[in-house]
Amino acid sequence: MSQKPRVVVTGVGIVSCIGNTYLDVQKSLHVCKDGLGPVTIFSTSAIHPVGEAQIDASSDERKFRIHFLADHAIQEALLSSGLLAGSNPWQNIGIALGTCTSGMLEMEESFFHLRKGEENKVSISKPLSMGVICDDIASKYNISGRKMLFSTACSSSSNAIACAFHAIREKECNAMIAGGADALCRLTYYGFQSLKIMAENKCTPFSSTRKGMNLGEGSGILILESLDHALKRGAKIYAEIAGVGTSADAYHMSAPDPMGRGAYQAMKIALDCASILPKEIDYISTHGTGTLQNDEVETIAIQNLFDTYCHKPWVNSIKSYLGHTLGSSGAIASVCAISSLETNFIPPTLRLENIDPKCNLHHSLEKGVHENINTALVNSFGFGGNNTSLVFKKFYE
Amino acid sequence: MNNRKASTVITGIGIICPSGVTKDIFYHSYLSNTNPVSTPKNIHLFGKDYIYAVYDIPPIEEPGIPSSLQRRMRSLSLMVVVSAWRCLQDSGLEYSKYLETMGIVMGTGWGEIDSIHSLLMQATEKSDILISPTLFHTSVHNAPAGHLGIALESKGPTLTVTQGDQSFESALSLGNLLLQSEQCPVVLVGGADTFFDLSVLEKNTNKDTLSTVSKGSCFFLLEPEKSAIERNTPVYARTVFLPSRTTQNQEQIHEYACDIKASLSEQSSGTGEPIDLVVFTGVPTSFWHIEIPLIKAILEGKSAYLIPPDTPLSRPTQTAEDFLGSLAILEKQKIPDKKILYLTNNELKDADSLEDLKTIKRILLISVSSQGTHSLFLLEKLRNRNEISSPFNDKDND
Repeated sequence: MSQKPRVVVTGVGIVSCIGNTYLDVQKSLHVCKDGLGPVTIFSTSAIHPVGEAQIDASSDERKFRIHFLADHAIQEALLSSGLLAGSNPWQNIGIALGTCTSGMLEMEESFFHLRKGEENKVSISKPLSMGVICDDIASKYNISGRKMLFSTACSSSSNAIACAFHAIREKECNAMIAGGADALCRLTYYGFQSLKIMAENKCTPFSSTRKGMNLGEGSGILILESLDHALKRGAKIYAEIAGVGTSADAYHMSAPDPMGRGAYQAMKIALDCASILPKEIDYISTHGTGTLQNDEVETIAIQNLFDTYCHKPWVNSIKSYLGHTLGSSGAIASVCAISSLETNFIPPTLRLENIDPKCNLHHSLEKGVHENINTALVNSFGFGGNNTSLVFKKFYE
Repeated sequence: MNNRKASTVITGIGIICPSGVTKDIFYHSYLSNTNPVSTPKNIHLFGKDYIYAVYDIPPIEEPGIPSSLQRRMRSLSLMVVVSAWRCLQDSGLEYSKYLETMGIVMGTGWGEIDSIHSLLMQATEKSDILISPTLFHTSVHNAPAGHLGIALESKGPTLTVTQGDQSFESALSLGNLLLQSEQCPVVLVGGADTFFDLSVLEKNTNKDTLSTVSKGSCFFLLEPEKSAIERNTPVYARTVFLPSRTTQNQEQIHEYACDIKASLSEQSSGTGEPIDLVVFTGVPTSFWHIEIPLIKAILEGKSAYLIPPDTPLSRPTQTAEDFLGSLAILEKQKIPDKKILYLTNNELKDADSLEDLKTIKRILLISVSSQGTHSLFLLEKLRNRNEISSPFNDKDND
């Protein structure tokens, strides 16, 4: 049997409340700047801060906010990959995205218009047909290959990246645009509020005084490519994606398995897929939402996997900068992890001073950690007990 | 670009849809071309009265699933869990051996639209701080797959994909990728959708031409052919997964046809054998100017019978029913009682008789989305399922 191709990252794009380009976000992480503040895109009586992206989403009434987020990040990723400059750039290229809200914000607007007896300007069904994002992006860039849209709650974009990884390894395509996007909307804001897991101040993941999560929005996009294809066209290689792992808790729709078995399993599968041992992981970008249950359970899972090797990789939570961006969070964390591999810098978890004894991990604190980082693990966990872990490595031929 | 892949077969079926709540009832409805009966539904929404037609299903009860669990699920999740459970029963798979590794992939166009509708009504009618937490976590698209994973205690990849009217096809391809990449030894793949009152706002409300919506769930068990042989289980069909592509013009159609032929040559066990029947499903708008040129280019002058798309989709994943219908044709060796076309010498005409169709071994299923995206699957009959003894063969008659 022929060897499976290595898969590399040749393009990155990001939109978030701490920057609308990869370099902007990298700078914000280096100066420990968060983007959390009051919600402005809809009115609410609640006061939970959010990470709202600073992006003009008004230029085309037919498009949803998520279109602008996703398209902005995809353009940056494609430009950085050099694929747009190729002679026949779209041959055998596919797209896999993840989202869990799609056009919900616009759907809500329609709903309010209708309730007031006003004319509805936006289609009712289109915002809810999540595949429309993939279709519209594919159509814009004339991508004719595999299209796949994942909606597995907060692990959506990580699953899209995992799918793209396997599609390239199985030689279904040469390259994939992979990642995700999610926009803030009332449904998730009110919904997480109803679960009583939203913090009224800026979130403090892994802290003994943590009060919950903040919501955010944005998009993270990677261009994944087989190594051969990337080398042939002389592409810049940001990192290698070495392994992916997916599991389910089979425990509860919204609460994690208290023993963290599903999270452990996803990390273990990802490491096995990458053929590396836990002791080789330098850094874990945790799911780290800041809720009592999530942080504690993720800690248990990490300890169970890494303590056996007496190894304590650095950990942080990017969500302390930009909130929980739901379906796009895995892709955004992946872009940030690739930045860490490139710059050998692990940003600190912001505002983390009193570490919860139940979250005893090797946290990056204060001004962050400057150290050689070769391997990073990115965790994403979602409703339905969905767990996905991704392993990124510095690229060496 | 594809190399030869391990062969994938279908070894289990579970269906709940307006055309049948068991496989046998569905087979009978499909082959006799009996349409389900629709009922008009009146709703009062935002101060206006609306009416639309619904292909509904009777209340579901499944003794194999704890009633406490069934009560907690909303309509879509319940259909998914019950149809997937029946699919596992049908397959004879001792799934307790696969709890850590079995994959679940669900395709849905609308997801838990029913819950979203209720949540939005709560948010607008009550207040932003008074919505139901239970309703919130069941409103996510992956709630049905999550419920299924919990019901089965399945800890393998549990994924949900959504791609409009090709959501089921997307799930099917992803299921095959899970097998080919050896992430899972078996995968439960299905498509499910339900309707919601809001959809009526964009539908024609003229009483003479009522828009029709429906609900339903259809699951299949995919596994490598080698594994099915090892556990000596009956096989419905071998499935060849062909590349998906969006085509816009004749040149792209021609290129796509070449790729399909190459892929068929690599993947199909019956290379050189004719495609007996081509079944079209999905959106019928591009049938004459894209699908027919595509199939002519693939068949290269060889003859085949064609079943054209006949009715608009009443829900995004209704195409799963056409997939199952093709399995019904293979298993029962019977053509549905509907309009059949015959393509011979590159000429298309009504099929006056089916005399050239002695046995049906290979069916090419072509699904087209409203975006012009094609998903093609070849179904190959391997052996006569009825000749193989299985404790589950009679299960569907219950």
